[in-house]
Amino acid sequence: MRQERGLHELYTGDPERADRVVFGRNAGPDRRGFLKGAGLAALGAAIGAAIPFGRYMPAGYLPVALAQDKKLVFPGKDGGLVLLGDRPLVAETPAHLLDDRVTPTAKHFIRNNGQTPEPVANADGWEIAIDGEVNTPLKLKVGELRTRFPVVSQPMVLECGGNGRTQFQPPARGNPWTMGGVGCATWTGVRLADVLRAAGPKPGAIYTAHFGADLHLSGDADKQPISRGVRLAKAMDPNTLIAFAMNGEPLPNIHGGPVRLIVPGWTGSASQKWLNKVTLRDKEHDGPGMTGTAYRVPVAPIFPGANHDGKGFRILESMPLRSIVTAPADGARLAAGTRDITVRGHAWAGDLTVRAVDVSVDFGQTWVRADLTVPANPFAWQHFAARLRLPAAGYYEVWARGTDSEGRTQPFAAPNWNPQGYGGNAYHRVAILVEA
Amino acid sequence: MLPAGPGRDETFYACVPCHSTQIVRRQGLSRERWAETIDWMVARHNMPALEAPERTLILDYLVQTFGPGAAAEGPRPFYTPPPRRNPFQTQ
Ligand code: HEC
Repeated sequence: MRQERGLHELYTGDPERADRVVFGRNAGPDRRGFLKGAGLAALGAAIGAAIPFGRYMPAGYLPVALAQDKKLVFPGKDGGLVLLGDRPLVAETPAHLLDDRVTPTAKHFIRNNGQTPEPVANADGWEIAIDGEVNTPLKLKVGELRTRFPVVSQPMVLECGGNGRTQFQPPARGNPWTMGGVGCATWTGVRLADVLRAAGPKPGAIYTAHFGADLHLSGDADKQPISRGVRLAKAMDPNTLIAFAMNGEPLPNIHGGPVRLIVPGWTGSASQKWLNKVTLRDKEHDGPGMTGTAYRVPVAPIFPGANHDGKGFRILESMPLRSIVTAPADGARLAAGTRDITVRGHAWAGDLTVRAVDVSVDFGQTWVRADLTVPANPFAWQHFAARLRLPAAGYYEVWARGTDSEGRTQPFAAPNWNPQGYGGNAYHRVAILVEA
Repeated sequence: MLPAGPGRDETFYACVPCHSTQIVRRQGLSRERWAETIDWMVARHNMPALEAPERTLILDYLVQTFGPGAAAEGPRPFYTPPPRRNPFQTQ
């Protein structure tokens, strides 16, 4: 373990020097170094296997096999989740635990911004208010929501706005999500649109503001940990829900129960947990998480690492295209003689859909088009699978690259650097080893 | 826990009232971005403002311990090397 940490430090500081020191390879003018001789042997020794496609590994690239993490311990949650922060509680799901088509509650990521509230005994008695630019302000109990409005139930992607943040270099500020700040659970609830219509939005209403019952980390009851909102059109989307159940069970406290918003395909922070109020506004919302560089990305790219106050940035609304390999697992050891593997995973693209997923086992030299399903319903993720050939024993990385319905593909490195690291949607990479 | 170094205790006591040190330990930020982060804690999150000698001590500690070159905790799988310095910066 000590050695891994040393390597890690070296790579964070100066990746090209690390390559020279550790593996003896020089970056070419095109920034691709070639592993050979002693370097290839050294990297092979660190991983514990030969690397059949080693000559194609980009310079300054720390093989995914050398990562490290810590586990979550929480009742009802899978012990394989990785703890990113204990106060506020934040945990992500390693990709191989996201293999299910519908994410079980135990495996769904957690992102809290404030202190976690005490669980509520009588969920049906929980009250939410609809106010602001409406003709009839409403106060509704959860029990009434169920009886007054049609109930909808469907799997939809919920994803933290910062998913993929660790891809940014220089490091962006915030929770260090890899690719596991995402899940596709079945959400049950009523349409926010139906409830807003019951209140009657005034003609001037253009934006929502969401409020929850969690306490700010400082304990100040007058401060909200987070309060975001969306354009009215997104609030009126028939798939935007006030959800009271997750995978057929009452919504657990840790996931925002008794009720939360589900604003599918958009930054998770819009899906307010412990929801107690939605206010319609005649202008963009300005609560915590709406201003500065929070949940905002540059319109015109800025220099990576530059200081910026976020003026002129746009609000990150729809999440970008992403794909993850859920099998084989990162770090899987395959039996000697294995030459064919099935790779599978999911792909999603915020408000858009995914047109294609390609996978590679030779560091992107060649790609194989995967079979891809259509979404089960709007905002459900799509599943892909492909058979791949491994020519020899040794170390491989499975790379996945999606293309969205507008023809955009995932990039090799995180695009559009921004201070808080939103939109990192580089290829997902998984390390596997075929035993000699 | 925070690693040893001048300013460790001051940083610990200034930063743990609200969140654990985990969120601090997992960053790798430049001096400017740490300064901006402290200002943001004060302006938006109710942190009592830090007075001059203590602020400098804490800032020094943060940059020394969790600067962009130090190992940020947790997996950071991608190391695409950025250019060494910003060729477009005037100064
Ligand atoms: C009075 C409360 C308070 C104090 C004291 C405090 N913070 Fe924070 N800090 C917060 C809150 C609230 C957040 C947002 C948490 C969230 O949304 O997950 C936060 C988040 C952060 C983050 C993550 C920022 C991001 O972009 O996600 C960093 C880094 C941080 N604090 C550093 C510090 C440091 C360093 C100190 C001590 C000098 C400090 N904090 C002291 C309240 C505080």
